[in-house]
Amino acid sequence: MRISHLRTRLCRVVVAAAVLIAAAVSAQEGHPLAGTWYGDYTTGKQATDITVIMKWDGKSITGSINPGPNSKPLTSVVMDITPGKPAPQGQQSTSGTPPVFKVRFDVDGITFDGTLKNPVAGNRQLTGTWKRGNQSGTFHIRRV
Amino acid sequence: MKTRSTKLPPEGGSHRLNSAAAITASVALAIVVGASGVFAQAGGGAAAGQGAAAGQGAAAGQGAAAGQGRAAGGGAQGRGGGQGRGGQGRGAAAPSLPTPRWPDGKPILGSVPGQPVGGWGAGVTTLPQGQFEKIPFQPWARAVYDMRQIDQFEPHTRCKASGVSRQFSTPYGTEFVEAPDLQRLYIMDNGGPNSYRIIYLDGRSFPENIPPTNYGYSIGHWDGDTLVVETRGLNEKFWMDTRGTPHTAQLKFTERITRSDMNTLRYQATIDDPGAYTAPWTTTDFTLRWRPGDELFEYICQQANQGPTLMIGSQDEVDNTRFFVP
Repeated sequence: MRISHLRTRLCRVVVAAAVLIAAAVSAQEGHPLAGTWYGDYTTGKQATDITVIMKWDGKSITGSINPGPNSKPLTSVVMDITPGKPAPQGQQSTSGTPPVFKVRFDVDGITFDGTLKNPVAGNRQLTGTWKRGNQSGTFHIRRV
Repeated sequence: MKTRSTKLPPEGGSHRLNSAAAITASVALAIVVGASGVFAQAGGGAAAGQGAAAGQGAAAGQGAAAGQGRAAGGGAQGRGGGQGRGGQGRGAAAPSLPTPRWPDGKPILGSVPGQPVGGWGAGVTTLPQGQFEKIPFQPWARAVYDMRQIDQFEPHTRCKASGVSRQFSTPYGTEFVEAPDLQRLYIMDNGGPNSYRIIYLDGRSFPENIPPTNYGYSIGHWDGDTLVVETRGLNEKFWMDTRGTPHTAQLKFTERITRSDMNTLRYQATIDDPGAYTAPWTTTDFTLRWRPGDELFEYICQQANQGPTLMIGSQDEVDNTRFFVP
């Protein structure tokens, strides 16, 4: 029983290390949405894994979820930016107001609405809510 | 939770070392070296700590009026913890000789055969300099630029090779190594990850489907006395300058490099990136100064590198709680 528990913990450590290495290898500095995102969405207490792939061609963002035989294309992706305010002259740049990146994407009748956290970091995250008809929940994905 | 506080210079962390601090550090170095003839650790630490942490240590060297700034900072453990040394002082203005030339008349961009080697001081820090409001940013690119002024995660501070113009703003200068027989030019930036960019001068064309890399694929040709270099095949894993001017993998980067005399290199770049800008744009002229005797040295970026810590979070406080991706 104890060995099984240790194995489970070891597996978790290995998976976490793999995710970290993958993130380090593929950290990108271009368009904030471009890349592969991994996380989950919740329905009540149930969390379901989700992988989102987004591409930026200079004009629009396209992509899909869960690559493989059951992949679905993103039918719409919109990023709304509320501009920040630069720091007043002579003050630390950190006293400025950072821009806010809101993202909405639709896939298979589901609308995801979220906000980018750490938008210029390699490990940026997108967190928000999803809605399909009268169903709804939260989601959280991280760029890997 | 903020767990530690440091006092960094205004305007963007240690790699935006202000000139006063740079001059102070340099003069301190010059005094230490000049007075004692040895490389006192305290002096080395001051310069390296200020500069090496985040990539602008060259400022220290450039500020040294006495031109004695080579303070061999091995073992320096200043705030930045880098392996710094000051460069030759920009203030030590030698009489400007004409542009050196190869037997075929083309300008020599690097060291002159038979003479002491040298390198170019950092000089290209902010591509939009002097015309920021005219830069045709796409909205996302402008927002990213603004965000990077606040939260600096520059890959260069994490020892990532950073191509194109970022090679000309490294802490300890840039060296051109020309190989006329090979029809190649190598650009080496010290203070980076011990790597180099190759510029092909053999008249080749760009291959199709270039695998994106940090330095890209550079082809050059001479336009009179100006070397024109076009680079394609760049990835998105680096910043083009220390201020975080954004780009995408669609970038075509064209540099015009002119050695207008022995001590002066003029540099201009055109950024053609439909992924990040609505139109191509060209920088103003940057000037780099020759630093005679400034030879590349072994620089292990990863050793005692505290740059990443300094670059996370705000610039006057360090947020050690945030997840860090190299």
